[in-house]
Parts: sequence; structure tokens; C-alpha cells
Amino acid sequence: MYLQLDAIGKTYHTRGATVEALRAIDLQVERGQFVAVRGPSGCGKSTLLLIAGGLLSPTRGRVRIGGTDPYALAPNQRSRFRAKHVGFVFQQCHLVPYLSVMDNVLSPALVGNGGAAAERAVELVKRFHIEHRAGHLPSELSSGERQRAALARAMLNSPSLVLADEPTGNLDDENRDNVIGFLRDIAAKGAAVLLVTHDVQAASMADRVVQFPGTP
Amino acid sequence: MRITRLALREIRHRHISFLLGLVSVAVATACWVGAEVLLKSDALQTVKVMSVRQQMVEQAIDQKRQVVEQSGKALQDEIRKQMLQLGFNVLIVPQQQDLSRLHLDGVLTETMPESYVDKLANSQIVTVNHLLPSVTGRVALEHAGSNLDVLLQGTRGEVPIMHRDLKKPLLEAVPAGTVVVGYDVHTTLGLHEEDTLHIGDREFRVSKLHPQRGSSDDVTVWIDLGEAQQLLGLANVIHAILALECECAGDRISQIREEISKILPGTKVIERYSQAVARAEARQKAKQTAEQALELERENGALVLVQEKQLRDDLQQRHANLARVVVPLALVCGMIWVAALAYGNVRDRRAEIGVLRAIGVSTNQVLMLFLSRAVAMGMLGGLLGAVLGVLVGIILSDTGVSGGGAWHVLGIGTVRVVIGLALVLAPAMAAVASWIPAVQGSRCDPADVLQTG
Ligand SMILES: Nc1ncnc2c1ncn2[C@@H]1O[C@H](COP(=O)(O)OP(=O)(O)OP(=O)(O)O)[C@@H](O)[C@H]1O
Ligand SMILES: [Mg+2]
Repeated sequence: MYLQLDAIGKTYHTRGATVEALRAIDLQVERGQFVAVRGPSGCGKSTLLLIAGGLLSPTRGRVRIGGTDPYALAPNQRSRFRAKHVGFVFQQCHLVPYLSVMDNVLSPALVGNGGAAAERAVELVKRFHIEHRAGHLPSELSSGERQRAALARAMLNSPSLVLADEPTGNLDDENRDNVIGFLRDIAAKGAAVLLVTHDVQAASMADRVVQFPGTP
Repeated sequence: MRITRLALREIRHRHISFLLGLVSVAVATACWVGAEVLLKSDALQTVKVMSVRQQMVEQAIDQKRQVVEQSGKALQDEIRKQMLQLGFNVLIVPQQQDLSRLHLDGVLTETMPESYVDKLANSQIVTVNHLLPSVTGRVALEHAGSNLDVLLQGTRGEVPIMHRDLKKPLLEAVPAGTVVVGYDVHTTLGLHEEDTLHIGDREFRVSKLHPQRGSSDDVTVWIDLGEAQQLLGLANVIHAILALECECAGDRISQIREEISKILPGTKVIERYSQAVARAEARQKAKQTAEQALELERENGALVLVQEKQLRDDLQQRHANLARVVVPLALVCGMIWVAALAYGNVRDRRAEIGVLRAIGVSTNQVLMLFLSRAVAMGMLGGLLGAVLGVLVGIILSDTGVSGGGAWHVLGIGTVRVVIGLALVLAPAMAAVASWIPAVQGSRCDPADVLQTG
């Protein structure tokens, strides 16, 4: 099992209140598998994705990515581990505002192999139909274009684990199909893909759909 | 994608905040460099001003000295002449000399050995400065058909006083074979310089014609002592010794008398032309006055220099005091401003940092991202500030930019050191000021940022 989440729990402590966002979640994604997670807003889907990607340490439970517990690594080692193995697509895109689409797509190469990255970036930009926007800043893009740019960026280092948070939220049907098709391709090429979506259509294209229970 | 490219893009994107930081670094650096340039320009200017002043003062003193020397010399010459014209201070004659003969006929009748003068000269006498042995007699002269009775003075010039340093003789000897002629004599006989004059059976060349003196000098001719002795048949004897007591003031005639009578018994001393004493005093006085004037000029010069130096020192001190307040203030304010801007920058970039951290950029790389921004700001600001500082320092200094040698200040070691230090310290201080925000930025949890973004 490539991604293994065992009894994950997450409790947020905010001013005065504690929010239990996740309670005893078990989830496994194998390489080559494309899993979709569905659930109502606020049920903790994004939280789960961050935990799975080694960005947010769980309050309880265990995370394994390819057998490695990312939270056992030192912060910088964990960064390197993420850079190498995990591709993130965030719900809010989070593109770097002063970098062009192309540079945003290339930004994971800050830590990785720079040489091949440029070619792959061009390829990805084409794949997501944003080559005509390659030189533009994120602020000049539509939300859908931004989402595709974020997706392209996540794919640059050909990660073995792809975590996508609502990547199709702002896309038309054609582009949605394109993106989901791409995720399927990636999975087919051996990556473990975990997709969070509200979109029934998108979820239906997954190998497996995990339905989150209502708000805990 | 290099991290530097990312940093440059960011700077271009948020150029206003970057420029604000750069300007504050430049201002702080300019204050520091400017203060140093100003202080050193002051110092240079002081050296320059002082050397000019020194020269001026020295010139003034020199001029004064020349004036004093010239006037002193003129005065001395004048007095010398007057002394010669006036005759002599005291006259030493044999005891038995009837003075009425001298006053009535202008001649002396009694003689004493010529060796007396040497005796006097070899003695320890202190009251007289010049000794002149002489013989006198009346002779009849004839020249170009005119006849005249004149006084003949044989002089030997000055006999050096043995225990004294040799002084410039007051009276020059008349060389043998020549004659110096008084006013009435040469006007009456129609004599000119280089004429030949017969005295007794001998010929003399006229070497000098005296102007009118209004005394018995006007009817006197002077020849060499030895020749006069031969002419007058007075071998090895003299009539009188003229003793000049030039520098002695007040009533010392009795002292002179006493002293001389001890050395030369059988002689008596008569005071002649006591104005000479007054003249001598006047001369002494004039010399003193001139020296005092010179001394005053020197003192004034020294005072002017001291005052000027004090003025310059005050100015420098004022500038230094100002710099002591302004420079640290500017540096601290600059750093606070840079730190504030860095905080703002970090806050603006939280989302971006979260993403970068999420895609694997390490905390150190994020730290470098912030610090490289600060260092770039510091380097450019430092460079700009150093240039501005040099310009402002020179403009504010009283040399001004146009003043010659204004740029010499750049040759001063400490100025160079400060400029060099500023270029190194500006980026370093910008980095230090940005350090805490940068560390905070690099440490922020990507999950936090991404969730709230
Ligand atoms: N940093 C946080 N501090 C406190 N509570 C948080 C924090 N992040 C999320 N939560 C809470 O945890 C719960 C889960 O949030 P999460 O973002 O994972 O939901 P979600 O399922 O992704 O919702 P959506 O579908 O709207 O994106 C929510 O109730 C949210 O308010
Ligand atoms: Mg979410």
C-alpha cells in the first residue's frame, strides 16, 4: 500500500474552542489507484489531504507514504521528501502571484532536477491547454486557468502521490474531463492519486469513491 | 528556476516596498559616510586654512622683521653718521694739557706715548667701546692759489679692545697717502675727490669730502696717524685718545674717568658732546622699540593662529557632536524601517511561502529568499548611500564641491575604510534587521497558511 492512513484524528485548538475535524480515519491508496473522496463541506477533506501529504501532522494515528512516516522526518527532510514524492493541488490554487504561469509550473524545480523540468513544464502547460497563458501572471488568469496551472505545477516532478483538492471546482465540463482524464493517466502510470471533490461526475471517474460521513 | 530568479521576480513585483527599504538604507548609509566625509573634509580644510594662515602670519612677521631690520640698520647708520659728526664721547688727554688751548685754537699741545692706547685696549676696561688715538696740529694749506689754515688730525682708525669681541669700527681709518677733507677746507680750496693735496712736503690724494657739519670738523683734514706724526714731528706720541662710550646710558662719566685714570695715570678725561650719550640711548631705545614691535607681531600672529585653530576646532567639534547623534539615529531608524518592511513582506508572502514549503522548498531556502532580498536592498542602498554620502559630505563641508581638492578627502584612509565598511555593513545590517521576520516567515507552518489562504 503506497499511501496508508491509520486511525487518523485531527483536533484543531482555536481560541477557546476545540474542533475535531477528523476522527479515526483509515484510508489506503495503492500506486496506480485513483481514489476520490466525497463529503459535505467542513467534514475535513482538506485536512485529510494535508495530513496525507505530510503538511499537517495528525493529532492521532499514523501516516505512511511508500512506507515512510513523513512526520518522523526532520522538517527539511520532510520538505525534500514532499518535493520528491508528493504533488499537491490546492483548493485555492495558491499560485505564486509574481511568477508567470510557466515559472509557477517550474517552481517545484527549485528543489529538484532543473534540466528536464523546462521540457516537462512546456508539455504540462500544453496538456492543460494554458500554453497561450504561459507568460501571464496568475492574476491575469481565469479561475479555471489558475486551477489548471496549479495542477500542472503539481505534476512537474512526476510525483508518485498526487493529492488534489477540488481541482475541477471551477472548470467547464470539457476541461474537467481533461483534468480527471489526466489524473487517471497519472494513476495508470503508477501514481497513487487522491482526489477530493464535490463533483459527482468527477468522482464517478475514480477507481474508488470514499464517502466521508457527515460532520462529526 | 533558480531561487535568485524567484527573488528578483519578487523584488520586481513588490518594487515599492523594496525601493522604500533601499532608500532607508541609502539614507542611513549616506548619513554615516557623509558624516565621516564631512568630518575629514573639515580636518583637511583646517590643515589647509591653518597652513595658509601660518604662511600669512609668517609673511607678516617676515615683512615686519625686514622693516625692523631695515629701519634698525638705517637708524644705526644714521646714528653712526651722527656720532661721527658729533665727534666723541670722551677725550683722554695728558694731565697737564691746557684745555683753553683746545677750545681757543682747536689744537692740543701736550703729548703722551702712543702706547697708551694699546695699554688701554689691553686693559679690562668696560665702560668704553671704541678707542681712537690721534694727533692734531695747525697747518697751512695751499691749493690752486688759495691758502687756508686748517686743523690736521692724524688718526689710526680704531684700536681693537682686546677682551672684547671685535665690533664694527665706528670710525674708519684714513689710509696712508690719502686725506679726508672737511667742508670749509674743500670749498675754500676748491678741492675735489681724487685731487692731490700738498701738506707740508708730502702729497695726499683726496679720498673723501665731508659735507658741512657746522663744527671745527669743517676746518679739519684727516690723514693717517703715522703720517701726521711725521709731519708734525711727533714720532710715537699722541695728543689724545678718543674714547667712545656708545651704549652707556646716564651719568657714567665719573665712572669712566675713574677707570681710565687707574689705567693711564697722568691723564685726564674730558666729556665731549654729551649728545652722543642721548643718541646712543635713542639708538638703544629705537632698537628696543623695533624689537618690541616685531615681538608684538609674533605674538599677534601666534594669537591669530590659536584663535583660527580654536574656531576650526569648534566647528569640527560641532559637526562631530551632530554626527554622534545623527549617525546612530539614522542607522537605528534605517534598521527599524527595514525590519518593519521585512515584516510586511513576510506577511504579504505567507501564502506563497506555504506553497513553496508544500512543494518542497526548505526553511533554509525560504530564509535565503528573504535574506537575499535584504542583502540586495542593503547592497544597492549602501552603494547609493555611499555615493550620496560622499557628495553630501563634500557639499556640506566648507570646501564645497567646486573648492579645489574637495575630492582629496577620498584619499584619507579612514574615509576609505568607512566607505568600504558601509558597503559591507549596509547589506549585513539590512540582513540583521530582516533576520527575525525572515526566520518567522521561513518557520511558518505551510498547513496553516494553506488552510487560511
Ligand atoms: N486551522 C484550523 N483551525 C481550526 N479549525 C479548522 C482549521 N482548519 C480547518 N478547521 C475546521 O476543521 C473542519 C474541517 O475543515 P476542512 O477545511 O478540512 O473541511 P473541508 O471538508 O475541506 O471543507 P470544504 O469542502 O468546504 O473545503 C472545519 O470545520 C474547519 O472549520
Ligand atoms: Mg476543503
